[in-house]
Amino acid sequence: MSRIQALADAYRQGHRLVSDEVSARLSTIQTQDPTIKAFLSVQSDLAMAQANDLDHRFQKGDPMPLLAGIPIGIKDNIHINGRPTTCASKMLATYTAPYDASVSRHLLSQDAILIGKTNMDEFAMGSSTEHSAFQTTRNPRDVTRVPGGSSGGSAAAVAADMVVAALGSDTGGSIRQPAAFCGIVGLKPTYGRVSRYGLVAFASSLDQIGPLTHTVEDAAILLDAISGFDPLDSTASTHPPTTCYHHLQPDIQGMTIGVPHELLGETIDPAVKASVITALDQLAAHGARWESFSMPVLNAAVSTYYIIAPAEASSNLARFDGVRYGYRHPNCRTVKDMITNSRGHGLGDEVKRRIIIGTYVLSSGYYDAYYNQAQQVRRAITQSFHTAFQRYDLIVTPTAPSTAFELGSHHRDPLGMYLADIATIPVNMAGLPAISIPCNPDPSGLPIGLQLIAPAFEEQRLLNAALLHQTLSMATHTPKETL
Amino acid sequence: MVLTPHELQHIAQLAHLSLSPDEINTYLPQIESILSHMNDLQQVDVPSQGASDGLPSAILRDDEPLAHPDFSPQSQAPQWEGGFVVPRLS
Amino acid sequence: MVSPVIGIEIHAQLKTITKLFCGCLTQFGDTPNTHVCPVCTGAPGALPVLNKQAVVYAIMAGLALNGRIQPISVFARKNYFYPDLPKGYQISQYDRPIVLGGWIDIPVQDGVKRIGITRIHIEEDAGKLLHQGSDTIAGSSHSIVDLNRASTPLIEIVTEPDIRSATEARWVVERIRETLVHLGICDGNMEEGSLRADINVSIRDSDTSPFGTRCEIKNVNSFRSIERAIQIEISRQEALLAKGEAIIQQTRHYDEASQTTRALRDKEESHDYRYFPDPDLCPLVLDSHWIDTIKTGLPEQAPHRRDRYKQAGLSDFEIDVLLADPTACHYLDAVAEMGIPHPIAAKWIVGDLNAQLKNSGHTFASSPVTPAHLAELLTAIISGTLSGKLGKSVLSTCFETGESPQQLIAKTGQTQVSDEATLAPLVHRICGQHPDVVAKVKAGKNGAIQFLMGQIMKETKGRANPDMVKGLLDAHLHQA
Repeated sequence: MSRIQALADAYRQGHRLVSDEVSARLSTIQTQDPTIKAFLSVQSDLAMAQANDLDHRFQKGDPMPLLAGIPIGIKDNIHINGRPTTCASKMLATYTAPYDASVSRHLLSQDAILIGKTNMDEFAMGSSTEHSAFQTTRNPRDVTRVPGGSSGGSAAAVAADMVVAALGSDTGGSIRQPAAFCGIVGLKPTYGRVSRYGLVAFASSLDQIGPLTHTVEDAAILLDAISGFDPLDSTASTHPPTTCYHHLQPDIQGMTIGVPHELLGETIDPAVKASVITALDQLAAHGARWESFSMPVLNAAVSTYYIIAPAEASSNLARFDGVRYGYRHPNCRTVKDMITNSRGHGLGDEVKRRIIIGTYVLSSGYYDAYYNQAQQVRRAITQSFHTAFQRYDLIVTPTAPSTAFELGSHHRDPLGMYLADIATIPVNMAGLPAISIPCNPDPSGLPIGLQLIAPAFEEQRLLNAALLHQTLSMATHTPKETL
Repeated sequence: MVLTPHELQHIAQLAHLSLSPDEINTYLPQIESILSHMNDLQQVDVPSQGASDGLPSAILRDDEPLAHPDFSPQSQAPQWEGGFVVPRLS
Repeated sequence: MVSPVIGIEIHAQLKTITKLFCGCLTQFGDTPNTHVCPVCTGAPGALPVLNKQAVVYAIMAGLALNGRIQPISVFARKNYFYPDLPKGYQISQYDRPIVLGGWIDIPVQDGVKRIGITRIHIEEDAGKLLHQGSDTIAGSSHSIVDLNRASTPLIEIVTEPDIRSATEARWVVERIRETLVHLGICDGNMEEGSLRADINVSIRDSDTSPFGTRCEIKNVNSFRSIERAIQIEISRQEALLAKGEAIIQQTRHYDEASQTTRALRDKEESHDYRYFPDPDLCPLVLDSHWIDTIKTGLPEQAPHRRDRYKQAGLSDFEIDVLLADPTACHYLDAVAEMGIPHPIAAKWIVGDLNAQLKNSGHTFASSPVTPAHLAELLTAIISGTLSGKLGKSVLSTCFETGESPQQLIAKTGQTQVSDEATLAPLVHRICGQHPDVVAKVKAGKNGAIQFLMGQIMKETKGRANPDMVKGLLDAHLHQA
């Protein structure tokens, strides 16, 4: 059941005012966010003004887009003209977006209400949202635990019902893993499906914007709203916007599912494994067939990612030099001092570590051994998926090896944190679409995510299968509806 | 494979990142462990595939002006005198 | 006597309307930072989109310089920090440029020498740094960054180290410039910076010795500077070697005022640009049909034009003047198309018309005397109805007022008399009136003929066609 659709119907039938809806959400934010800390900024006046205007138009009986009046959160690395874009970094603490991201433009033109900007790991580098320079977001399911990252703020905002849906960005799992940790749905579209114009770049060949929602239907609605060719992004595909919601139906009939056993091995928590297998068996009882197979190249995926992503990031973040915008360190005598100190003081530890790694692997003498080799392995990963999809209609894995871990538990161990991205990273490497949907939680009630992966541009197949699982699933812990 | 503090400083210089002695001490072992983990990449068999096989081609834009009347380079400049002010070069 | 080895890297700004990766105008000289947008100022979240016209111009340059257009080329990031480089990297091409190979011919003492071209690639220009508080970088207190120029399209043309003298080097730059200007893709203005040359110089004992260590000379802003800078660099290297010192590979800055080069401050970190393919841009895949279309549509190139004019009888001087400005060539060809022989049209274009244009600040494109006007004028002169002398003043008036020569000639009634039926009897009469002078001419004093000429011109108020009169007089005087 689509929450967006339910709300949209209520607006049209006069059962609910937009201003009341927005008011209620702002109230939830006011009471809960001091604990959860999902939002970095909230534009409440703007939201209420927009809500009042929409109420007039609904009253008049004007035809309205489906997203009209739907409260949505936007990750703080996606521009909305005139509002803060901090990327959770001191470097951009006072930065105002000078233009709309293409996705924001789409949502605004469909009268969605963009309530505020959500917290994240600084410059999207991290898997827990603990690397935000400003605040640490908590998992609404258990506030001693992380919401996941880097789109932790968006995931928490949706899970805590501060918004109906949110946009995040996913480079190595940053939409899917927080969705899994918070017990909601997270979709990473095919690379090129959604324009990156206005998304502050982390790793250009891997980044994609996608929705975080409570239901598969809502993810489909948002994908349809934000996807499509954009002349401002050379890497955006020429496909027109998707029409997934219109064609959505629960369907797994006759599908063969492949499960790479490298992603169901000893590094995966037993509870996670059990939940995933239960879900697979359930799908098998309803028309699908699943089997395990080997994708040995997956063992090199983390290394490949942690060479390519930092390399691109080291270059993408070079523009943060204190010259034209952002933090400028005071009292520097020379340009070099000014640039070096602005970056040194404006950027956080995790960001600096990755820039250093990225600079290292691109530097002369190391380019061939690291960067070039990583690109070759990446091609091997893509090829491996391609071969697998000749046999399987979908590939399914756990989204993450564990449930949400405790705040501060990975503090001294960046490598350990990196290794936990093993299931999500290969998807970005190959540019494929993937969705994380909740399956049975662990015995203590912590959410577990099931990841479905489809061939490029097969989001319809992906969403249909996900919808079937959702329909069957008894694992969805639906918080009280706020309607 | 060992990364010396000197090498780390050199990379930080290339990347124009000022690092305090504390940061060097903290980052060094972390980065070393990450880099040595990556050595497993050398073992992977890679297909001999042409780099440009099946790649989409560049999008080309017509040579037409696109104005940005609302864009103000001045508005976020840390220091401005008709242009972005920066300290002396050396 | 050392043997110099020289290679040149030319950066040419392409005359597109908009920048390489965004829709900002490429106009110059305007208020700083007014032709900018999120893309060319390196704002977060902005992305590059390639300008098709820049690709067309690069292909044209590659074809005109006889290079091989690569069906697939790749854009790469050249990473370094500088205030005029907004993204902290320049989008360029590295190991897969759009053109490989090529050549340009230059004139040498006994004919023509072919200089190889290694490659041509597309890249974006940086912004400008204006130094405050001093004329030199070293003395300035702070700088101001102007990004109007940032992301202007450039092509970089790299020659093989085939050049063996300062004179040859100058010719190479002149001929490459001429090629680009005739294609209409570059202004070729070294003083303004739309054409820049960096020169690599090394020396060796003889033509067969291995290459020596080379130095790169930057800030060479005119053709004269090219020759001078090379000469002083050769001398400098010679002097070092004579002292037994080694030549350090370095970049040197040429200073026109002091006629010296000095080493640019060596950066502590090496030039590690960490090139990698730009992930925001797909590879540039060029359709061979498209390249063929561009090839067929290429305007006439300088070497062909030069030959054609030579064959048409123009002098070397006239050809040089014309080829320095393709619009003058277009003008000439337009006039010739209306039936005027090339040499006659060229004489007037290179002479009188050119002078008028220079004085007035007009160009051939904006000339008040159109090719049609000039053709009219020259037709009248060729047919004899207008003397050359009168033609000059008609040209002048036409230039000032824009009236057609036909109208002007009719107005002043200043048509030349060139009709034999009128002149022959007149010649007969004048000779009859001055038998003593006639006798002198017949006796061998040819100078006396001038008196008779003068009488006839006086009778006709200067309108008689002097050549025709001369011919008639000769015929009359030598028949009896």
